[in-house]
Amino acid sequence: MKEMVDDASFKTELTELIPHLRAFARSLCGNAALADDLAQDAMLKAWKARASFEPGSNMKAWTFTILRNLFYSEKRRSWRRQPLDPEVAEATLVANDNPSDSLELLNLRNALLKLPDNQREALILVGAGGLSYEEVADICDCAVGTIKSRVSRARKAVLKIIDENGASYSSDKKLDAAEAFDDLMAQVDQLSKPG
Amino acid sequence: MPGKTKHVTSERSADADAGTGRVKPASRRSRSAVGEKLREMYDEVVREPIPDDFLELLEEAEKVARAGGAGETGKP
Repeated sequence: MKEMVDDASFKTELTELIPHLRAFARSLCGNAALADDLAQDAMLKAWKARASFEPGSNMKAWTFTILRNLFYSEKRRSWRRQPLDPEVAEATLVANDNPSDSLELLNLRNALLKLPDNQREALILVGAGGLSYEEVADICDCAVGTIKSRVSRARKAVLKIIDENGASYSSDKKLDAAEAFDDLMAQVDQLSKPG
Repeated sequence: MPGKTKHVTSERSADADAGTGRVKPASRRSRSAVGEKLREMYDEVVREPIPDDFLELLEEAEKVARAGGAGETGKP
């Protein structure tokens, strides 16, 4: 008999993950309403599949896998294409997002939209989602090296788009966190190189 | 330029070795800012209060499970 997390603690842990499911879904869909729809489906699917969750493993990574599979599943294809129409997506993002967002944040959002899905998700999961490369590789069902190179390519592409838009990032605040991310990215560069 | 500072060697050498990277000096800060903004974007959603319908749906699902698992076998 396999060990199982009891329903109450599973529910508590799952509830704590809802904000992350919403954030990951938002980054995949762009559109906030569709993203919540996806996040809800993922949450319910995770609940129903709770017997297959291995106690002690990372529930965030587990639920992200479920959410991502839903996003890419056949059934979802029609609406997942919607936000990838750049004009619709930009209008939606600008309309739905926090009006207090800085221009820099909007530029980043727009740059992210131009990335291939697999690069965008890798960059978000590693850079913002707080997951390890190994976990992201599991979620995306590919090799760790693949994730590293996707993140590296995504980062370069985003910078290129932002540079071309002439956006200036002059903010010096919170550089500590930014530098931590830089270190991470430097590791990606090194580890993703062949040899 | 390469090797100018020692304490950030990992990053420096990564840039220098990348070859194809050719990160322009002006982009160094952009790069930091991108990481920062990426987290800001994600955290902005994480900090939003959980919409009620999420909690209600989960509550409902738990009730169903407690009632004996009816509806739990919704899989085709």
